[in-house]
Amino acid sequence: MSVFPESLLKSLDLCIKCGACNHVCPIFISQEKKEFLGPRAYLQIPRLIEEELEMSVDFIEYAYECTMCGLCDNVCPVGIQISKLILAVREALIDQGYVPPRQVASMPTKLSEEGLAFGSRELKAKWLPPDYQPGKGDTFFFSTCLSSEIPESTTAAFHLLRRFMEIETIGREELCCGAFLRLAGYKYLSEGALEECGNQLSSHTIRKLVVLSRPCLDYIKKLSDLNVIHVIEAIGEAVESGKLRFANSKKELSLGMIGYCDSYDLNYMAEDILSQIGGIKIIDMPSWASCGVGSLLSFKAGAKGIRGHFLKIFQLAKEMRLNSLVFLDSSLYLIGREISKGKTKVRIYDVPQFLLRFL
Amino acid sequence: MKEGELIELLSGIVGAENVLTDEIELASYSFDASNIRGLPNVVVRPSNNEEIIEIMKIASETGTPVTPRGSGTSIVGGSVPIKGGVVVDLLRMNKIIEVDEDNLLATVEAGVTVSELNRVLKDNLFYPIDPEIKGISTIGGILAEDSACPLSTDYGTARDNVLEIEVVLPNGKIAHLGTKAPSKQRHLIDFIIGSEGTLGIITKATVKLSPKPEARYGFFIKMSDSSDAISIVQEAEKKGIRISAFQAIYRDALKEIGEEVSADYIDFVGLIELRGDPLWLSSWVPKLREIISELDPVEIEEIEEEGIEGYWSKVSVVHDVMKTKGMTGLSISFTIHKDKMRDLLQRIDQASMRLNLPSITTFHPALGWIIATFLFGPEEKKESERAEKAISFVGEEVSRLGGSIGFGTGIGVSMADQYFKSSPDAVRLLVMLKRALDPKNIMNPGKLIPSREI
Repeated sequence: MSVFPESLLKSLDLCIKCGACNHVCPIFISQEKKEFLGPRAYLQIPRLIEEELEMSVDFIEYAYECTMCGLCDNVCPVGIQISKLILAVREALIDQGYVPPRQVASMPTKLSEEGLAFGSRELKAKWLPPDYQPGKGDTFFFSTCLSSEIPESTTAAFHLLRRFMEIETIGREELCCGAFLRLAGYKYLSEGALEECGNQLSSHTIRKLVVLSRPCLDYIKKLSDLNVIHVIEAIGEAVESGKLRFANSKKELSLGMIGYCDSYDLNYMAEDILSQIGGIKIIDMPSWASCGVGSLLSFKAGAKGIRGHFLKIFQLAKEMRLNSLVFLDSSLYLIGREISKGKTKVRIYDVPQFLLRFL
Repeated sequence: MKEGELIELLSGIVGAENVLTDEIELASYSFDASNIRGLPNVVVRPSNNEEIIEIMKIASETGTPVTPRGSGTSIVGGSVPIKGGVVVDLLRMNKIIEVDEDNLLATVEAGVTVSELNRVLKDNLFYPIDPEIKGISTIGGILAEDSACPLSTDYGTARDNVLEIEVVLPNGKIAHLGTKAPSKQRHLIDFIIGSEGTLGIITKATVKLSPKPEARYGFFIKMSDSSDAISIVQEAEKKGIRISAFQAIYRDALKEIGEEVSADYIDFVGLIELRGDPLWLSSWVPKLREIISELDPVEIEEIEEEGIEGYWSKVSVVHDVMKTKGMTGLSISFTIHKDKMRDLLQRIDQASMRLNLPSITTFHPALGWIIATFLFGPEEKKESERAEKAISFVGEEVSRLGGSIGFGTGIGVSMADQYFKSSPDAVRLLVMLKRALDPKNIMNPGKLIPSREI
């Protein structure tokens, strides 16, 4: 009885098991190099399931450990697009009727009932004043489904953006773009969500869309007729043109930045922005202390790897005696907030929340 | 002892979080970079040599097979637990204990990878044995297999770059062999190096570091007769030229990379690298140029230092071909007397034609080292069977012509039968020593020595 399509298995069989991919995987490295948390094992186990192993609940949970950073794709000597195959495995599982773990399981229902991937419509409404209506501007802020779980982040971002630009937002009715559904392997649902989201956006005149979080940014970019940028890019432009200036920090602050593994531009931009603040010292974090774009999805699936990864990051911050950790994306900030829950002395922020302290 | 008891005992030694028993966890340790498969009963991840001693004592008492594992990069099944039992995963033992830059030594735990070691060294030093050329193999694995790499032409293999080792023996005793100076125990160290984990688990080593070369120079050559490669090596040696690396790809590979064969027939394409003091190079370069020119090369290109790295990919094409063709492959690695290299290259070509499989052959003329890879479509069962036949055939030819299988990669499972056929005396001696040190045959069983011989 076949779980995985033959074409997927054939692609997986091209793997020569050299192990190069493992040694660039941030989860593999931070979790003491456990073989099953590296890309190589992900490529081998589906075939083993076809041939010898039983399909199990363990495997379904395991399929969500990968945080989709894509670094493995760059080092494979035989050119396998590993992260794409791992995503294809998730799609195959869902196709066969298996249900992803934890919060990921409730995404389809939430999408059909509330038009969201997670959180709730009620909570999503709370970050804006109850009578908010978008104005006549053509630059919009896309708050994403995260706005119902980290309103402090969305509020800070919107507040900060409004300091230097005319910007609106769709508000309480904003629809899910489908990004996290895509990462979860709900391929068709995510495409449907993107279409609905696109229709909603078209009903407003939008020239530029500023998106809170990168997974959503990457996915919305598929709506080709939109000019889409990340919050950090918008802030960066304002800093460069002198529209935004920061006060100095009253105390000497040492901070570390945690960004996405492959968001080099955003990471550099964030560093430039934060270095404008006098009195803060940005300490370099090791390269493993970065995250894949699917980290939040893995976290919502209850994955142990990403959890352990963040615990390691907090431990490192403690050893380096950092005052603060600034997460360069709200989805990473959400994980950080959930995991740290008062357990760590290091204060955590995302970029907008951090910057607001110095305005 | 029941499995549950064993797991409890192991948890007592390393902590429950470092004992892996889930089906998926075990499955991920059931393979390495070879096509050999074997499921362990349990995986343990110790953090120091004392834990390994305790693990080994229990394994010895209960007769449980033990398979040590580093990064799992073996292409001969060295880290696959084919008899089940316990896999000892050394990747948590990755401390760099001491780096002595003045004396060019580094003492490291066995789980340290080559890139981890090279990363902490100052810019002018490096550890030269990098079989994967991505630096991901561990020092422990490299020593156990006595690995080689292209630079082995100059720097030797793993055994030539180690002074001290610490090894936990099958009876649970720990042995410190060697000192930081050349020692009388050299023959004991060499006994363990290359024994492929069948005589104990290497836990620590003091390896030799090398200074990075002051100057480098390259010759990229295309020639119409593979014996010319040998002639270059022989003439260079006579003239006192030290070649640091000489890697070539045979004409079978050239077909696969679509190399335009000019009017002159090209038998191989090679890269020769000279390294050292600029003064030596200024003497060697013109001499080597003359040697090569006298052999009437189809093409000869000289490369200055900065350009050399870029040329290495031109003689290292296996993965590119696999990528382009969407195929995977089986390899055999061996050394043969230089005079017989050409014969063997031709036999490999023959196998490729007779069995209708593309082959990519890389050889290192100065070492007499050849690696032949036969490619096949991963879903093609018949093709993969033919690939196994091709490897067998080449192995037999190597034995017939007095060569040695397993150089640079180890024998593992894949080559054990061939090795016994080709070198029965050596294997019988190994069996005697193995029986003395590991009477219960718990240490990496099925590797190096065919199981039926124990």
